[in-house]
Amino acid sequence: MEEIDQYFNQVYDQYVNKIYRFIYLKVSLVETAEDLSSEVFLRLYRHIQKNNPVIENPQAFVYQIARNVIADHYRSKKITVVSIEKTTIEIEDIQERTREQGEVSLEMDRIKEAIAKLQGDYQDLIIWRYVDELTVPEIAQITGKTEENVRVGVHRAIQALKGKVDI
Amino acid sequence: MAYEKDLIAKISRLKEIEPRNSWVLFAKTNIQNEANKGVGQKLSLIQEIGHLVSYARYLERPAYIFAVLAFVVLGGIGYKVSQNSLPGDALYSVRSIIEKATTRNDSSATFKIAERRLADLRRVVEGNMVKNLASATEEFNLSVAEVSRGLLALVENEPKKALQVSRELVQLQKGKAQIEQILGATIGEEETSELTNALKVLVEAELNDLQKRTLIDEQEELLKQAFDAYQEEDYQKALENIWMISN
Repeated sequence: MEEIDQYFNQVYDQYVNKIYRFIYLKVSLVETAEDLSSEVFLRLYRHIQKNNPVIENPQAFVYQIARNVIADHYRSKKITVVSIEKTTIEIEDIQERTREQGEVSLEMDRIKEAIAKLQGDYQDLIIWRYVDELTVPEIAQITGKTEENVRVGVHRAIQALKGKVDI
Repeated sequence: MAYEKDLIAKISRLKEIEPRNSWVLFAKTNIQNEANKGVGQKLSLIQEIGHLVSYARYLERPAYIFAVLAFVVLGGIGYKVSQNSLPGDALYSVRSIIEKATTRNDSSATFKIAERRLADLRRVVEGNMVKNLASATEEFNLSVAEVSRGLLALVENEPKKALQVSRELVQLQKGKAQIEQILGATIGEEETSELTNALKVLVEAELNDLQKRTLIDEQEELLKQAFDAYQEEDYQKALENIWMISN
């Protein structure tokens, strides 16, 4: 029991910020990001309880859980298209909340908004490569793709982002 | 190329996004609590005492006397240390047993225990003691549930005493609200709801009683304010008005 808690604490402390940020950049709401991040780590804890506590690549593992949790979230919400009005309301809401917390400047909001307009895979690649600063091999381990595919994907994601952002 | 570098520099600034510290702290303990539900249930007081008493059979043999003496001396030291322990610490169960054994089994005693649990929780939160948080919260919630049951019993059997202890209860709620503010999360919603219900029953009983009494104008005005607060489900405020009438 102690061993499980110790290992969980170690992984939690190391990745909680990254997972929260990854989810927040994809769902754009603080409450939802908190709920989904909790779900990620609850699934991790249960996995550690059931299996051997030591996970070969905890970083890849928690990001994979996060992707599943986000997919489950959207599936349960049955979100297909987000209207421009809703997006604007959500952005205003985020700005108000984040301004209070001193987390994100307005300029960062513009980048965040542009990332949110990208397709899911491109969002992931941008966040992992340039926000979380993961290496190409690390991203390849998470996605199960070859390093070459990841490099091409990151390049295409940046090109796609250029078209969405006005700097 | 410069445009791309600028864009990447701006993207990388998004790493400044961080979760709320209070959420990080609270989520971790909640996850461990949630995942461990039903695992490692605590022994009841009777089971714990029975467990200790079972060791008395060794006293039949004189050879164990030194061991017993050593146990007593170390026990004394352990007692001192345990008094400063917190929920989640190894020696906390010792403190808990001593508290239960030395506290009278009546309603006012449960308030004292709840106050101690609140003080423990405050120490844990202010000291950022993550490993103690889940246990301290659970112990506090248990004591709040006890308090709610105690208050309901007092309203039925000793209404005057119920009004007296309600002052301590309001202080307890205020202390809890302060801790919730630090944590940025609600503690024990179910237990809080039980407590609010107990306060509601107390306020109803007091208002019914006051309606039957002859009051001076000033008291009538306070009673009206208490009724208004009751209608708005602000039982703390209603009680404050009732206390002023009763003084």
